[in-house]
Amino acid sequence: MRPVAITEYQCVSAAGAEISALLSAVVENQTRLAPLQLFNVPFPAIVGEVTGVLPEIRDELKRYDCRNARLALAALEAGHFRSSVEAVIEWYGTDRIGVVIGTSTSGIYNSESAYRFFVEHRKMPDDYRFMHRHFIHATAEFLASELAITGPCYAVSTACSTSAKTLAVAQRLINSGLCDAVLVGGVDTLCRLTLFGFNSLELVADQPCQPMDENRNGINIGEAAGLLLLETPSSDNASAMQLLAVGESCDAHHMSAPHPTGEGAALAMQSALDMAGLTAAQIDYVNLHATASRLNDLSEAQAIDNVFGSEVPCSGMKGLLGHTLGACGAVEVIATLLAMEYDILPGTCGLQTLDPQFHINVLAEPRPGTNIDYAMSNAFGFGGNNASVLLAQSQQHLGS
Amino acid sequence: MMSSMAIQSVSVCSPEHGLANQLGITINPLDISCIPASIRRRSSLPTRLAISAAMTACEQAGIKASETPSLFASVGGEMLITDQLCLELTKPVVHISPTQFHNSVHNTAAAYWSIITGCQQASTAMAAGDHTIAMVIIEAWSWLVTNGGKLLLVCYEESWPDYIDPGNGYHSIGYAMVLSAESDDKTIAHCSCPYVSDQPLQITSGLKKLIMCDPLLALTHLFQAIAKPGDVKVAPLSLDSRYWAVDVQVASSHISAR
Repeated sequence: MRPVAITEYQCVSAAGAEISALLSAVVENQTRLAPLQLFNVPFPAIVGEVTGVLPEIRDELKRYDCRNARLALAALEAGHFRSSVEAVIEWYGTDRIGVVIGTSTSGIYNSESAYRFFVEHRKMPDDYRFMHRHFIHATAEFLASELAITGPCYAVSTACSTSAKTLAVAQRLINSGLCDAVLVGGVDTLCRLTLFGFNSLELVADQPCQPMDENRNGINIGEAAGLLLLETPSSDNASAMQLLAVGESCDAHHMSAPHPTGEGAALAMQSALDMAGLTAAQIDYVNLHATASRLNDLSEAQAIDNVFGSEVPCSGMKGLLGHTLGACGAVEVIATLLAMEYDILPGTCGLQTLDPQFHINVLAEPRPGTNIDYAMSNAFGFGGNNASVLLAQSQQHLGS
Repeated sequence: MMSSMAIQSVSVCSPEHGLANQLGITINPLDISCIPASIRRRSSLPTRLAISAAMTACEQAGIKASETPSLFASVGGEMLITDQLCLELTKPVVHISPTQFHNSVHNTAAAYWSIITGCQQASTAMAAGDHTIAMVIIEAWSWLVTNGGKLLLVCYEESWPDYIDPGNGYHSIGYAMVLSAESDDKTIAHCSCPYVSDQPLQITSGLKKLIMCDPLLALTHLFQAIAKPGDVKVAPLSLDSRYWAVDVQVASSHISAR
């Protein structure tokens, strides 16, 4: 698999409306989790909520209007992201750009209101369009319409590995010659369905989560939009970070519990290394999926031990932002790219005492001043769907 | 670079009587005997349709399901489960079933497929609204160009209450194909890289009406083309704005074997 260039990225999360806010959260290693404000639930809920005002959807595209589309638009409008995408569209042409966006719950936050209307009035609100808000593809279609992109446009939805897999899709689309650039990422909002759903699975922590800690007792749900622009490599983008490979696998074990020894996760990580022609010893940092659930962290720690041994520095970011579900793959790839750009090994916010069963090198605190040439970012989802994203510094950096 | 995808097998299943006549293709009844009882009890109709079609396609292609990567596509996925969960959330006291919650994800069918077959290969679940069939063929093409080997492609849907998408008539159906980067003696047809036609494509009015209400049925064109040996046929994959299509030709070895 040939590498592709990552020429721009942006993120809106509980940390704030720009990657600079995400970088600050990583550097400070201070949680952005707080009690849920967006709606009420009858149990304690600490979440990673986006509290700022989200942009309005323009009139021509109102059919897509929902919190997920607004969150996606906020990320598109952040920093220079939109102008970078528009420059690429101008350069390659609208039909040579793809849009592949991952989401788990799409517009369900708004559908929940529509269902309350339905129960009261025995019909859905006249202006509610399931196909443009509720369905999985809606956010990808909205972004393509917003940018007048006419190339391949679709959604990937494999639960919490979703947006990590959009990078794999983009690399294939570019390497097969179907696209010159692809807008990828993940967008998911808080909604009652996921709060009640994870609560029914007894997986929700009533305090800020503690990834990899011996006393970890569950996850905090978050919301975020993470977008990246991937392009075919050229001399023009030789200074851009690179996507080397995405290893993909299945546990083939259970719908909601991970493989007990992390077999599927290890397969995904090893596959990424094999595709890139790298050895485990060459990897400088691993961003863990580390949800802070008892079983997930145990499974991942064993997988890391099996593939990398006990030396490679690892950390998890869900103590900062919560588990942003379908967005977490993209958001944590972006956080990893920031770590590589600013020479910092991120810490694990919430980790106090590493689970003594784990024989891996999990960092509780950030380590600034550390060069990272190669990094991996893990995302594992319901149904045992695994993706490990392998990133590298730019060709220029590695060649210097 | 790969010049065409080899189609190794095709399979369609549906519990709807009369759909075969409407679509003009052979449709098998839903066969749940391949689904272990423990999963059968907790799986939805769309998941059963996907698994039934996929199992038949793998058997016909003579491949090991446990060693084959897979690609699942559906416009709505587990729409009825999500519908029931959203209705439950309107109640004063909410009781969400943990099983229904984890079965509501879009990759439920893909997940149960991997569990039933013991397949740890890559698996993706996707959707693209009206363009779902065109985009899943694009994804399959790019997978085979970059990875080689074989790929199981599964497209499935269920019918929904009218209030979810008024005027649309989704059918309960599962399609599956085994595709390959290289031809062999199992190859039944060849399929080109998807392309955009600069003009609307010829579609019989009856089928057009069905596809306009149920975009997954667009795969019917490709299945019809495979059933009729002869010259290269254009199989439309989507109906509006961008007319995605593929060229399909039945393999000569398959014609002589018929």
